[in-house]
Amino acid sequence: MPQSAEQVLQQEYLLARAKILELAATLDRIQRAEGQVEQHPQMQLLQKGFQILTSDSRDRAEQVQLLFSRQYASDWRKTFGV
Amino acid sequence: MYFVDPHIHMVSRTTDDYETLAKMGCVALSEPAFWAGFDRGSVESFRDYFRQLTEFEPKRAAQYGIQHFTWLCINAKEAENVSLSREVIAMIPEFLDKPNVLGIGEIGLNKNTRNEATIFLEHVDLAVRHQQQILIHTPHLEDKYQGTRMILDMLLQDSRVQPERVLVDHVEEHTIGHVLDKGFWAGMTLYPVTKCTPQRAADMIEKYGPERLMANSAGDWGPSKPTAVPDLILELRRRGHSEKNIRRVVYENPLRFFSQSSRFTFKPPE
Repeated sequence: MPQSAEQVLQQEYLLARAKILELAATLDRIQRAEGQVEQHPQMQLLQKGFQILTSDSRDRAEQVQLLFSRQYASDWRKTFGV
Repeated sequence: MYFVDPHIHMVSRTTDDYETLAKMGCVALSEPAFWAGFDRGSVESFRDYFRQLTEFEPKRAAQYGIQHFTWLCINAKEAENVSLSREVIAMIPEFLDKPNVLGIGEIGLNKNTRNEATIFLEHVDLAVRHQQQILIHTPHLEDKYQGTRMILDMLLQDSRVQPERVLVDHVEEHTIGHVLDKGFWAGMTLYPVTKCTPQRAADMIEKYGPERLMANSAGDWGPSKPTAVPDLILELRRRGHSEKNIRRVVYENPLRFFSQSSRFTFKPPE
């Protein structure tokens, strides 16, 4: 029998809390260190990733994967000559 | 529950791992040819490696009651060296009649370069000419989506390729749909940090169903667990999946896929 949303939440809650804590600590660590990275492309990717997490989308995992992926061009074989 | 690990590099693991696998219920595994951890210098080093895969590893596995099968190729990382790659591809047919050889693999792309694509196409041609199944490596991290789409383009644009005889491995959330939609088999690799977790693999099974889907540990040089498939079994049980459905993914599907190879002779446990 498939689990209910309540059951999934109860099972995953502590793990999700731990992962949020890790991310929070990572951001604190970056901020404590010397220098500014707000405009760094990787920092901006992370910020976009956080936005996906807090969106209403049903395929957040796929969207995060695509966010951190190189673009695909359908004419690549012509470009490579293969 | 008995299971088959369809993608694990035992050459890089100690014999203790065979013991652990056997204790956990592994009855068969398939080991694609891969990178040595450094770039090999000559075709003779590949010949020795293929001997290791076809002679030594099956004996090591048999000590623990595990049936060992293998795939042959020059991997995507080393495919940048086109001349060496062509020497290896020319040598592979010497080993295709070995009892545990299932086909050509794990071929694929690494950084999605022209040389890698060239050698990938030559491997596919070899496989087709010798009626071999194909096991595909898709790139990691930011290269995965682009590389998977390129690999599928090359496979689909060769009318001799039969998708049902090809396993595209290391699929994740953004590539699995593309692979399954085109009729290929899809492998989910349960590997910490850089690939997929048992939880996300279970999510994909729930979203796409068990048809043409497998899971593997891809135990190799990096931090990886030979017990990854049992971890998935545990996760699926935790979610209330039936033993029948779990067995389909971790046991029946690999056997069904491998049974398309003329060399596959599997003795099921009694």
